[in-house]
Amino acid sequence: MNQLRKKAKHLTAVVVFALWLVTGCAHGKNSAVKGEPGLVSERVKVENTSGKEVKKDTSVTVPVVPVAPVVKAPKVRGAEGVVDTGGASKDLAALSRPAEGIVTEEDIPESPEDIIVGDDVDEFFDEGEVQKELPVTAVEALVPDPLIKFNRAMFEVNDRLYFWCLKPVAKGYKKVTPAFFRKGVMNFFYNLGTPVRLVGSILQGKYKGAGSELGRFVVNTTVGVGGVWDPADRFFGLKPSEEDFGQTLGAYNIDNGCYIVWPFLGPSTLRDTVGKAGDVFLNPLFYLTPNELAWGLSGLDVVNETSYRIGDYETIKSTYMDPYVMIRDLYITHRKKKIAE
Amino acid sequence: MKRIIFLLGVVICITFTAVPSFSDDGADVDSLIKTSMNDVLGIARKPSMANEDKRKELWKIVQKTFDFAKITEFTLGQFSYNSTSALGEYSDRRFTKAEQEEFREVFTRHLSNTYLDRMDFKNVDVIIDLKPAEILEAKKGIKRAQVKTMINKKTPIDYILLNEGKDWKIYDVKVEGRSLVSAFRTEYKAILLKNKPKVLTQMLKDKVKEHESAKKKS
Repeated sequence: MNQLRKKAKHLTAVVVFALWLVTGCAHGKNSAVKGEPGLVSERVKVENTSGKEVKKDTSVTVPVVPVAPVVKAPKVRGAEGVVDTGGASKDLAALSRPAEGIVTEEDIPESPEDIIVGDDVDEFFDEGEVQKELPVTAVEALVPDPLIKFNRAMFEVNDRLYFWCLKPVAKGYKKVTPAFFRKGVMNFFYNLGTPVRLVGSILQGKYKGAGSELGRFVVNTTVGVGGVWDPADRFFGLKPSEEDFGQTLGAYNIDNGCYIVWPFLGPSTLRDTVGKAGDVFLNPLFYLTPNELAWGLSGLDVVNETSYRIGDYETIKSTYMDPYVMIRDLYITHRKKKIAE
Repeated sequence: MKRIIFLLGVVICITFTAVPSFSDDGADVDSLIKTSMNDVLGIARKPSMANEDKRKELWKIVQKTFDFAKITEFTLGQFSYNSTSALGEYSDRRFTKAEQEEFREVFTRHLSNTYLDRMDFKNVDVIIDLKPAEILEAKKGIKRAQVKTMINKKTPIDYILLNEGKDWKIYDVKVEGRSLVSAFRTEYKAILLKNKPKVLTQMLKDKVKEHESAKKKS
């Protein structure tokens, strides 16, 4: 096992070095991602509690509260098996089965296109004309789910794990740690994930993103004290390139395969499971010894991450009749969107 | 001739540079969203106000800003009382006017519980980048618009509005491109393909009851 690890270590070092050589040219001034183009063409300052007037054409933004709360889509993170519904929001697990005979495994969402609509595509208004002559169609699943019985069981397991173990621990952790500490921990582990994002970016031909990742890693590891701070974004405008091996496989037109819910890990698909296994070898924690230290750090990562997402899973669970189906769809649409980006 | 071409050019320039958000509609939509956000902020930040009172005040704003009748209609889709699409063998799944009204009341309460509970009154310092309103193509004679926002520089939330003649109201919210109404619509369609409207309304009532009793316990 140790030999295998050593070999993997050397191989990774060679690959990373080769990639560094290849992407060196993308590391220049012009390759840096500056700001978020197209994100904000015109910012509007929304008044604060003082009741001052709203001003247009200003680049200054002030803290405000959204009209609606943010609930993002799930993303798979660590072993928590919990739906990460975002900063608000976007991974996770489990649920209680719906009332028998009400919603079954066949009762699932339509095509993803029906959920992600374009800027000016409004399915609601088109109802009358479009569906006038059409029969009521059955609701189709976004992804094949032949393992649904196993998946629902694992969903239950992850639900219990979340409510009985992870949530209480994360709540306690949040109570005893200051916000800046948790932010630092999050940045540190995010920085450690650079190899995954870097290789994913390169394999997908996203050299600008790869250059940005490399630049971020150098700046954040040095100036940002081991990745605890993120000066690369703040001072150099270097944005992360959110890629992984599962997305890379998707970019090469490899289909999802079937949907799988793993205990501890949460929602996935056959393709993303293979991708996740590939990502493990690119995670520096995999090569850390002793194993207890690696497991401890991984646990800290999971608890810290969860401390930012307490309540998200609960919202999904209380909002939808069948959270298993909703989380499956959120997961699939989220991954599809990430691959398309 | 040159003068005519010049004048024509000026007219064309004025026409095409008249960005929609500078129109009355754009200004109205901008004003509605900004005012609502400011009102929400003002209430959420009142230190002396109890959270339950804040929720009540916020709900008043939400009721003024959102069109729950339209949200209900779009959520029910072809099963809605207002829809004319053929339901074939599922014709008994169409809501009657009274059933839809009852559903709207419960659904509105469900949305209220779900989303107001997500408000974190201890941490209201959220950064929102608000783009000017975009006027969309009118559908079936109903004016439409959208306002795009970016929360904390990373989460896009878009508000989609309509105006049936008087006021602009929000009828859908898209978080990272995902329509909330579409999500409910898909789930409820699956239920309505197997059950009559009354069952869906009862399920929703149970959900509301469950939520409210859990909240009392906590």
